[in-house]
Amino acid sequence: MKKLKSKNRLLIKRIILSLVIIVVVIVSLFPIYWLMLTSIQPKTELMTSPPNFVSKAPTAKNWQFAFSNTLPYFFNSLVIATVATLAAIVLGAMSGYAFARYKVGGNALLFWILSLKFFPPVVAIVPYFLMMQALHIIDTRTAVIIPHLIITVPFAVWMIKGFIQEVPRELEESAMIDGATQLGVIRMITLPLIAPGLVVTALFCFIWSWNDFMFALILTRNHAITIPVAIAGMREAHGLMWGEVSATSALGTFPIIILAVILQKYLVRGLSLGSIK
Amino acid sequence: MTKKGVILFLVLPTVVILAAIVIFPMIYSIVVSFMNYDLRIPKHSFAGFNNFTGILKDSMFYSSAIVTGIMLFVELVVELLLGLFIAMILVEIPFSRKIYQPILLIPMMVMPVVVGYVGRLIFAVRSGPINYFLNMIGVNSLLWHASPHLALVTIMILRIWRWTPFVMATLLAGILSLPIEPYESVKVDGANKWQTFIYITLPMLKPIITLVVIMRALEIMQAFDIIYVLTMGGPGISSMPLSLFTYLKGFRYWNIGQAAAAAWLIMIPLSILVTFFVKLMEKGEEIEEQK
Repeated sequence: MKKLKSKNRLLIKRIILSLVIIVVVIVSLFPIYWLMLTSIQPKTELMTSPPNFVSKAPTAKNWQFAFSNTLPYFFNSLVIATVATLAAIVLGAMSGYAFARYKVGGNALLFWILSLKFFPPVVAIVPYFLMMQALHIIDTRTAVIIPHLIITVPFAVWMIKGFIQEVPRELEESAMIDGATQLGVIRMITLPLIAPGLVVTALFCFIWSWNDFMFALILTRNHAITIPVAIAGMREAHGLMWGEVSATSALGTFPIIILAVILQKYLVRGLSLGSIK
Repeated sequence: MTKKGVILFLVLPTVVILAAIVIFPMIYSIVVSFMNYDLRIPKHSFAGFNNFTGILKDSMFYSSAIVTGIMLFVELVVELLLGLFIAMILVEIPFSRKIYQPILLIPMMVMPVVVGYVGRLIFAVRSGPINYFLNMIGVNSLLWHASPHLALVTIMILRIWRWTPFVMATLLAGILSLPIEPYESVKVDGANKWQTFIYITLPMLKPIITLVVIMRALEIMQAFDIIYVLTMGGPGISSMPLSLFTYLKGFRYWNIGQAAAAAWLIMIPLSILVTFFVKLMEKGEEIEEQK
């Protein structure tokens, strides 16, 4: 009897806690639902009072607009984020290995690189703007990629170093005995073993670069505009394009959400720079 | 290749590239902060400390420092409490945690510019769902980001919405990785849930909480995107933080020298925090090596 009572209490407690979490889930998803909803509503349903909580006559017009008018910006974002990511992974794999296996420059060099992960863009915007202007490469994708490396490279070095430390040295040593060179071992043994870690690191770099606003805002004007800058600009130029801006926003956000859900297992490790595994 | 040669080959490209893209711009930025920089003319005269004194005499610098200070305090407290609360609940419902956790992390992935834009939609005065819900429970519509009193509150609500998942997920991972022995021994001593939380969980979580606080503080001090889209610091300057102040100084009023000076003033507290963070990570590294 007593056991049954405590079992009931546990059940009631779990139900209450689950209800609280469901409220939190609703709050978490509601703004995204609202964005989605706005993106499929025709002009007549937008900005009405009271608001429409569902669309009675959904339209694909806004999404058509987003696909046909913002493709160049998507292409810019894609190129910038891809290059900033690939460069970070190559450099990160090389120096990450060295930092994991040897004492390079004491800890000072490693921690200098780590501290750059927090380098505030607001400090860099003035010199970068002037430098890119002097080099006549303002409004090019290169101008945006270069400062992005300040964030992506240190992050990749640090993460990949952590992954390599988890590979037992013995695996490498036995390959060395078989006559492989140091660089051969890294390429054939170590890197394949940490492939999942490399993918996760790459996705984080990509997301950072894709979402960056400040650098792209200052270093682009027309040709090299990225998605976040395009979204912010649409708001300024056309105050009433709610549907179109919503569709573009959703288009720019959903790929990232999908990527994040896929890698959610590693999310915490990436976000806390490997301090929590 | 010798061992030294291999190491050099591996590390040198990263170090050279980082030095080039970080150190050179930094030196350039220091130079600019001591110049009367005018983009319209090719020659720039030496300004001494004028840019720095100019910033320090600017009342907008102080009001934006206060805005950043309020954001730091409010966001840290709310995000930590809320994040810890949600994490503790998820600990208690282990079976459904796997379903809820990925959903709860979604806000963190939304592009900040889009968060600002969504804010315009849901906090819209006449047609926004938030005011609609308020009216439903008998509260009058609020002006939200259009009101000088509520603009900063609106921004903080959106930022708390986006960042609490990070705090929650990090703390949850921390709680789940705690050793169970201390819990077993206090259970024997007959401690209740609350006592266990205060005397066992919190002290053991301290390093992770410190880490989360520093990482959040660093991000809050650089808050820019959402505010740029939602209020541009307004109405007036009621929601203008330091980073937006610096941006506007340089790229709206074209006072490049003062913007560089302001950036260096912001750099001071940031670098202190980064030093703390690095020290903590270094400690973690040493513990790792001892294992």
